[in-house]
Amino acid sequence: MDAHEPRLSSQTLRVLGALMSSPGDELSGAQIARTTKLATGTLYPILSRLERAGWVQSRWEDGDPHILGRPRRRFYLITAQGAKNATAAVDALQAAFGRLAWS
Amino acid sequence: MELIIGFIVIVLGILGAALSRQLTDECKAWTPWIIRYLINRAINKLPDEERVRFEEEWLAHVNELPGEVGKIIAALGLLSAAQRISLRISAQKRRSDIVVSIILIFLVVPIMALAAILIKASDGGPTLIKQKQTWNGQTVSIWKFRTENIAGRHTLVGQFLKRTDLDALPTLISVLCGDVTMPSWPDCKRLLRRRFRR
Repeated sequence: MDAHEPRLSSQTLRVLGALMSSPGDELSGAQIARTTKLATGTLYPILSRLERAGWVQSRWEDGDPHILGRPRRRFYLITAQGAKNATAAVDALQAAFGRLAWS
Repeated sequence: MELIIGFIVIVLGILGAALSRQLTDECKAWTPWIIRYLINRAINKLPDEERVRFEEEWLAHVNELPGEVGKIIAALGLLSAAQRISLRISAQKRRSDIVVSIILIFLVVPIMALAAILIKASDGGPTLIKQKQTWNGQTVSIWKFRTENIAGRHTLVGQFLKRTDLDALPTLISVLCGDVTMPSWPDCKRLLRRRFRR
């Protein structure tokens, strides 16, 4: 595994799962936290790692914070590479568990 | 007697209700301040280039949550998030500092060797000195070529090295040793602009 590739812990898979559950949809950190039930202390290091690895991309919410009257949210979207890698990782896990179950 | 006890219980009940109401109002009033304080503490743990982004993002995150307690718990979690993000980024930065400083030292080694020979030949003193400098708010010792003689005056070679900033080349050794870090690309551009405006 490449040094920049994220470690696929169960929490990371939960984040990827939340982002993949509605392809094309962008989710804010708070929405991902609600879906995955992860605490902020766990979620943001994972999102930061996934973004640096290019598995996830993010953008600011449209609009000016002064007009919105609140800070802008940051939306996360899984990239094609992220979706491909996550699917491959899940397939590998399933294959490994399958082998374990039948060996 | 029963009447007095009943009266005391009623008075205590009223006082308790008023006090708990007051406490709730106090907590509500203090929550934004506590959240802002915790997020500021978290942001200060991050590298400079990440601070603006995460400050707005995290304020928005906490803003999206219902309930004062949930907001404070989320803000507390951000302290640990900042610590973990910062540790990972500094580990990556250290790796890139080692690679970049080795490449640059390899490229400038002939210039450094020539400078060292000229300094040694000029007065026989040491070629390198350790200079204390403030770097990211911390005092660190960095390697530089010696430009002054024992009397504290610039030597001829020293004047040239100082004017061309070549006296700072051994700082690459300090980067390799981990005493200081390579400036980020925007900082490099700013330094170069300032250097050539002089």
